[in-house]
Amino acid sequence: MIVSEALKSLRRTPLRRVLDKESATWQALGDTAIASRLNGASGALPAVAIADLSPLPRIGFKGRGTIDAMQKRGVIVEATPNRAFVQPDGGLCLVLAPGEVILLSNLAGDGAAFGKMMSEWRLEDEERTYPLLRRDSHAWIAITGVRSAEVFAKICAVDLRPHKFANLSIAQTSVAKMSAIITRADLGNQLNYYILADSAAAAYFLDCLLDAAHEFGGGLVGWDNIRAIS
Amino acid sequence: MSNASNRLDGAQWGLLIDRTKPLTFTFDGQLHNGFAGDTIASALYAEGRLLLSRSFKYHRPRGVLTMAGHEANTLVQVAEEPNVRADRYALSNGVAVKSINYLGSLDRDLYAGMGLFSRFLPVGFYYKTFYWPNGIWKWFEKPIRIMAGLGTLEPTAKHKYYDKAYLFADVLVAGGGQSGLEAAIAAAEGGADTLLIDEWPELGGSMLFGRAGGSRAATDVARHALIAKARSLSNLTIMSDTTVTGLFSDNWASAICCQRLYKIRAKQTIIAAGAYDQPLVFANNDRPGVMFADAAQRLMRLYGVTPGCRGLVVTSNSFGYETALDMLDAGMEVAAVVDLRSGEQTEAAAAEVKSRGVRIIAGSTVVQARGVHRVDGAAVSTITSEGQVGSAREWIDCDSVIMSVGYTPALNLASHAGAKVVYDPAIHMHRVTDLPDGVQVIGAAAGQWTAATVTTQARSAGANAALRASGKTAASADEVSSDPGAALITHPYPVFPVKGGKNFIDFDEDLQVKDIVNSIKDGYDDIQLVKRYSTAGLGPSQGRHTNLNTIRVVAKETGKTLGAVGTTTYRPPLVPEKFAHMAGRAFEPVRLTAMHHRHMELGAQMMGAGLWMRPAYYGPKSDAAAAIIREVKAVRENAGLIDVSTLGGLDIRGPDAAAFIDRMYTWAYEKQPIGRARYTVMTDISGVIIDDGVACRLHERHYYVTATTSAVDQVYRAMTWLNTQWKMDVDVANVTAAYAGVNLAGPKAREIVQKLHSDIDFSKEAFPYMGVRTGQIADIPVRILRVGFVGEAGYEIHCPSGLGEALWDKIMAAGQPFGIKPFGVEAQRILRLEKGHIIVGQDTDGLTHPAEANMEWVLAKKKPFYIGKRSIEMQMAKGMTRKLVGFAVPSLGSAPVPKDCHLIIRNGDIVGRITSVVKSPTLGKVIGLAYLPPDMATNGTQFQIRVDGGTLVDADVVPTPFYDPDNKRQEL
Repeated sequence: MIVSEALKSLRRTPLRRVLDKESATWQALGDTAIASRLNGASGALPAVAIADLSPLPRIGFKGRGTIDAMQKRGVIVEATPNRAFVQPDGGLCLVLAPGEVILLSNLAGDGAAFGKMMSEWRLEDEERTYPLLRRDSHAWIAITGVRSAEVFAKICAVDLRPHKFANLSIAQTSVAKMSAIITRADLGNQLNYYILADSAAAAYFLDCLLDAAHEFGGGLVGWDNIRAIS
Repeated sequence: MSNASNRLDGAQWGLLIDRTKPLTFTFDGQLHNGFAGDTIASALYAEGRLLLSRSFKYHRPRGVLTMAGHEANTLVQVAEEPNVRADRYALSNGVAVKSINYLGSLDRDLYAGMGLFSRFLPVGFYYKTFYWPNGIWKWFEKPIRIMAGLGTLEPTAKHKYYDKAYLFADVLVAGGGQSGLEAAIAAAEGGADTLLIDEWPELGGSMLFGRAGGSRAATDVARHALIAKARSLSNLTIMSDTTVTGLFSDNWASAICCQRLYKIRAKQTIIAAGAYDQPLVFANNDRPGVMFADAAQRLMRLYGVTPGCRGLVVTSNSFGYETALDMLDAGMEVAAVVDLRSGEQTEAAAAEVKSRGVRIIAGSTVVQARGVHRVDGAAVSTITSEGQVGSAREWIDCDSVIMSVGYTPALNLASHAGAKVVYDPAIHMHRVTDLPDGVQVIGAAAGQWTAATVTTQARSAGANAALRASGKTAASADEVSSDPGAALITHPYPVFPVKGGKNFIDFDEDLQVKDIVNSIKDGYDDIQLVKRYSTAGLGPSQGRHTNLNTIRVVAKETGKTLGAVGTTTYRPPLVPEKFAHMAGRAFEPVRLTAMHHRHMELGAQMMGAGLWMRPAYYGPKSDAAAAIIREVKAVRENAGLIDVSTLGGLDIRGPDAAAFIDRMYTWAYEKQPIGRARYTVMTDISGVIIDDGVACRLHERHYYVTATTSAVDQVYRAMTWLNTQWKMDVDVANVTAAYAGVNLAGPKAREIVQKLHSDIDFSKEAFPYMGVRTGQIADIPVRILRVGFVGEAGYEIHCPSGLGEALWDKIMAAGQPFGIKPFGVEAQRILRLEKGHIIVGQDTDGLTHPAEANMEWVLAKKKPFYIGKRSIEMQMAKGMTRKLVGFAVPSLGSAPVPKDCHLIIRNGDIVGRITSVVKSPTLGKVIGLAYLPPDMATNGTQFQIRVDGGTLVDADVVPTPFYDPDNKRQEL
């Protein structure tokens, strides 16, 4: 078996074994590897496409001074819970509460800014904001396609239909009996949701998503497919 | 009519079937033909097979009654699926259908003789027979159990995929007949996101087969127009073949379609469920061929099947005449129309029937049917008074008797939602009152029968619902004006229990009029008691065709009005739901650590720990005991590595971090040095131990606290809850999933970590026992705790979970020259017990306070407050009733090894119990922890354990730790 150089990285997505079964092509991405393609496919996307974006950079901050601290760092954000803010580089700032955010990198995986934020953060600064390892605590899965909301209707009690759940809305809710953060983040004109869910339950969670997507012809795709949409 | 069967030719017949797609299937092993779109019952009827089932008690032959799945007559078994409604089950090619509930064959059921013994099976016989003389029940039970029940459960049947889905709407309309369509269109036109659900494959309700306004053609045109309008509205979603089965609080509705249960959230609900045909009660009114007019029309219009060659219609409304016209149009001979009403009727349909030469017998009723497997004649008598007829009978030859003597509104869903159902003597039907907010009832369900009033009311309801769903006030009230036409629908007392055969008031339960009368005579004269004593309405049809006539009989027998009699309660589900529907697709979350796949590759046997999976031990199950001992020895002699990622982790950060920890845990933490860990015990407000772990001070304002796998979520909840109340300047974060962790333990642990590239000094002096360090190992950022849960030198190494597998790999590789072995939870349990450490939840229970568990040392005496402090002080002042002690069994002899929860016996009384026990591989003897009375808790006291088989085994109270009492090894 040829082991890709990319797979020698220390950091691994919790879905690595699942993606390996789908003949993933691994591509180096910073300190980790990402499944860029599955089963060698690069053609048309299925009606509901599901992709593991867990290797992409992300970081969280929590604490009563979080919004001010983020704005001080140039993050575009307001204290509006359950709303996502698009950043100049295409990344997102998810406001979960007046004192909690998660920053997602853009789809290219540019995470240098997050590394800088982390390394420059000091408790002594008394900003009342505290970093969280969201890249480790939460898996990041994209689900995209016109029937995505119907997939959610099978596993989630929140009305996520596009005309009821606006782009850049966030729902912090239960999905398949697990806590999850669902963000609608359309890719161009394509309906797209990001799900952040317990990384330890990522395999279970993906299984539930795929099961729900099956009747719509849904399936796993690679990072390249998602980037191609955007 | 086709030559070969009862099929009708022509586009006006058989709306639901596709004659270009013939199908074959078997019924009781016999090959039958049908078409795509047929039901089992329609296809069988088309081939002349009317007998579908045997009745529940008397095993009487039964055929279709409603053609709508509303009764038990058509229950069959399809492969492994019991209780399938043959008149609603869509036929598929090759399906094998079996009839049920007989001995011998369906046509020659040996149980049919039960009818001869009916006098011995009176109403309530369940309650008053088989119980005397004493002991007789066991002789009756077996044959009754053999005879009882419908269908067969197949335990080996393959699991099928059932699931659930949520649906959302501003306005839900249940029922797709004329009123439902009108309301849904109006709601959608009002801007509401509207969901219309109908149980049939085609929309239209009674418009599918009826003659609204007297014209079939006009009805069909109107139906198509409504459907076209509905389908043109983008905000109107239509779901056919779906049944709303329940309506609950806050407009939460359930619906079933195939193998899926929908959970619907709507802001407004409109019920347009129509009405149910009511039977005429006469002798042998259950014979195959006796059916409701709607059933006959469904057979003809939906499936292209004629109910017979010569039919007799008995009616008290225009629908009977309209059905007679359909029968004539279908080429049937109509022997007569028997009208319960006196005089000549002026309805257009009646006039047309008369003009087509059909005999009309007014002021009369059918009193008896003839025939066994199919009706072959019916007797007609003149009605003399309510429920009474003259003695003269005229027999009329016929092969079908078509009944239309009234309806009862389908108020089940409204009743589920909490509405009241009252009797309206003006229309001889029930109606609904006190509807909850957000629920409206329209159409026949609301007593609206005239097409124009149905349309007006439905459109108003739809428009109002749309307004309310958008938060606006409705333009007009929902009051339903009475429809004079409703008074012409239902006969007030269609019950004629004359001699000549059994007259059924409940087909499901084989109940006759006399059974209801006898229930009252037995003293059960309240309608609720009548229902339960007689079982009227308890069958699969849930009283649809039983309740109204039962209420009428009860009213007559008790001299009350129908309103005073009241009604029984409609309960969900409206139609049968399978357990599979309610179970759906099971969601059972499983959490895997970052190293999970490494454990699997190493042959670990996994065990559940809450939602987590943890390695119990490594190796085959057949070698479990030896594998666990090998793992224990590896830790004691070399080094072992255990995955502790499931342990809870909490980051407590902020200026008040130390003060916060001090309040949450029993010990003192404010003066805890940075870089040190300290044991933690958490108690609840009653002083009971609820969790333990360690608090690591990483910074003046930062603690990293561990918690047990199962308790971390409740600890986190408690911390956030209390932090909200206390308003301290601190942030609490549950970082359990963010960090993976391993415990490298054993005398060679230090050598192994020192082999890895690191910026941490692992020497004993620089990194002593209970020290905490942050840094890097093999380029992996880590938090390292020097703790000794297993009693050896150890390093609990935590790293970001995305790097957990790599950390495991690095340590295992570094440890190979030192004989490192992975060890699981089972070995850890032995190791910690040898060291005398407790496990919260195993060695403590829901009442254990720290002193009982020998933990006075972890109670800070000087600090003014921690959660549970006051309770603990009160308990300690009160005195202990038990104490957790270590024990050893000096000699087991031939007795079995004691187990957890074995009891401590003194003078024959239970005085304590074992919480943990093991035969220690290291010490070579049985050791454990047990609760004992304080007077037995001193070292050296001997006591007895009752083990499996009742043997009493001697044990001695001994000090803990059992292993390395001076703690030299863990502090190496």
